[in-house]
Amino acid sequence: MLKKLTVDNFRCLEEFEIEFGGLSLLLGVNGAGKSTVFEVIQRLCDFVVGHKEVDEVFPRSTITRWQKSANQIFDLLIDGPGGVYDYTLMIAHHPERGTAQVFHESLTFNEHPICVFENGKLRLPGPSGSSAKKNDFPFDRSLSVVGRLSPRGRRDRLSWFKQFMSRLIVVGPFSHGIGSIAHAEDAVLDADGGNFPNWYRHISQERQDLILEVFDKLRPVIGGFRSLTLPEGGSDQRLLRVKIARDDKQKKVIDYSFEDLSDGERILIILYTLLFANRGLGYALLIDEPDNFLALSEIQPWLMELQDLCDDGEIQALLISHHPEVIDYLGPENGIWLKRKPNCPTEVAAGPDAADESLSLSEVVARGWE
Amino acid sequence: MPRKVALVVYCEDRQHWAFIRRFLEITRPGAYREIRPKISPKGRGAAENWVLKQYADALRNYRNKSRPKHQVMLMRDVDASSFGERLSQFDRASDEASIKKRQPGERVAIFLPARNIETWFAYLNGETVEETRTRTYRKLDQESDCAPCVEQLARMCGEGKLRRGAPPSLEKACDEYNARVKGKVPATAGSARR
Repeated sequence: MLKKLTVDNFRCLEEFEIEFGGLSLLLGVNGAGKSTVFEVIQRLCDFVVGHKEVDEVFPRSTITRWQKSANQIFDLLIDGPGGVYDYTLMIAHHPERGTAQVFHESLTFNEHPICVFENGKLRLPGPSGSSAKKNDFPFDRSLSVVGRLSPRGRRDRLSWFKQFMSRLIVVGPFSHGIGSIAHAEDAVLDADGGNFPNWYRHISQERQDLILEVFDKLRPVIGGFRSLTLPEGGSDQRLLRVKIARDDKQKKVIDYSFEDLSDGERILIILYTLLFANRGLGYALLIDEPDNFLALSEIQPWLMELQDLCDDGEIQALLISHHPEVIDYLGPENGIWLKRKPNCPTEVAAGPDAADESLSLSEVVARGWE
Repeated sequence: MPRKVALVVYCEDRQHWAFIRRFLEITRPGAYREIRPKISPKGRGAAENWVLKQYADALRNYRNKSRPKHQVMLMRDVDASSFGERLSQFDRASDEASIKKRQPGERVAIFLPARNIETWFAYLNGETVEETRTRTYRKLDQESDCAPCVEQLARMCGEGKLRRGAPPSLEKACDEYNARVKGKVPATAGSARR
C-alpha cells in the first residue's frame, strides 16, 4: 500500500509530503495540486516499470517555476509484506545541455538496501549485506536501475516492488475518447481510460473469474446488462461489445458496440471493472474525478463498494473529487486537504472546522473553507 | 436500471454506518442500491445530537405521500443517558416539530445501542457484557473491524434468536428491525432470546 510520498521541486510540489490511507480523498480548490500528486506517481511508474528515459518522464519543464535548484527529489514509502519499501529518486537537470540525469536512485526494505545507484554506479549489497566495491557496476544515468535490474536470487523483494509499481493505476476516465476497437492487449490503462477496450482485452484473458463478478455487479447498475464480449473484428482486432437484454428472462438480447452506450454507462463499466477485476491482487487505484458523467444516484452505490474493498484490504484507492456526494461520503473520515497560494507550493492543510454540524461538508466547501 | 432508494439510514458516526451497511449487505443482497446513508458531518464519535435533529424531517419525509416510498432507520448511542430517556427524546422532537409521534406500523426504526455500539461488538465477539450507564467496552481500531460481529449477528438473525446474555438494547433493536424494517408482527417480549 502506498504510504507516503515526498516530493521536492516538481511543479507546485516543493518540500512536499503526503501520507495516504487505504482509502483517501484529495480535496482542495482548482490549482491546489491534487492532480499533480497523481501525476508524480504516474511518472514514477513510467520511469521504473515503463522503462522510459528520465528526460522524457521528468523534462525540465516540470521543475518548480520559482525554484533555483535544478535537482528534483522523489521518495515513495510503501507498506509491503513484512515491512516498508523506500524508493528514492534524485534527478539533476543540466540547463546548458538541456538534459537530465539520475544522480541517485535507491530501493530499501526496512532500511536495508536492495540496490543503490549513485555517481553512475550501481551498488548491490553482498551476500552478508556488505557493500564492498567489488559489487559496483557502471550503469546508464538516463534509466531506472531499479526498473532494469533483473530480480533474481535474494532480490525477490525487488520483484515485489516492481509488481507493485506496475499495479498502480492512475486514471481520470473521460468517456469521449473511448471507442470499441481492441487493437491489442494493453497491460496498462491510459490516464484518460482511452484504451479501455485494449486493457479489458488483456484482463479478460488473465482474470476470467473476476470478470464474472464484474458482470454480476454491473447487472443491477445498467438496465438489461448481461455481459461484455470481444468478438473478432478482422486484422487481429477485436470489438468490445455489450449485451443488453430487454427483460430479466434474457430474451431479445441486443449486442451493442461499446461506443453505442452513453458516456455515463461507459464510465460505470470502467469504474466497476476497475474495482472488481483488480480486487485482491494488490492494486492501488488513483482515480481523478470518478464521478464525471455519472448520474447522481449512481455515485454513492459505487462509493460503498469501493469503501468495502478498501476496508477489507482488497485494493487501495486514492480519489480526487469536487462532487458533493463524494465529499460528504468520504471527506469527513478520508479527506486529505490541499491548499496553495499563488506562486507558492502546495501544502497539506487542516480541513474545515467541523464544529457546525448543521452544514454538510460539501456545503462548507462550497462556501469557501480556507 | 435506475437506483431506487428504499431505506434512508441516519447515523451519528462512521462506526454506526459501517455496522449497518455491512449488516444490510448480508441480509438484503443488493442493498447498496436501496440504501441511502445520512451521516453526521462531524465524523467519528462526535455528534450525539445530530440524528435527533434530523428526526422530525425524516418522519415528515417518510409520511409525505408525494415522495418516493421508503423506510427509515436511525441509530444513536444511549451514552450516559438511559434507553427510555433516549427514546422519549425522539417523541419530544416530533412534538416540538408539531408532527404526530411515530405510530405503530410506521416503517421508521430507531436503534439505541447502550451504552454504545461497542457493547454490542463485545457481546457479538463472545464476551459476557453488562449494559450499564458506566460500563464501556473497547472501541475498534478500524470501523471495518466490525465485520465479524456483523456476520455473527446476521447468523443469529438467520436462526431467529440471539445467544444467551444479549444486551437488552440489542434485543430491542432486533424486535425493532423485525417489526419496523421487515414488517413482521412485533415480537413478544423476550422472543429474541435463546
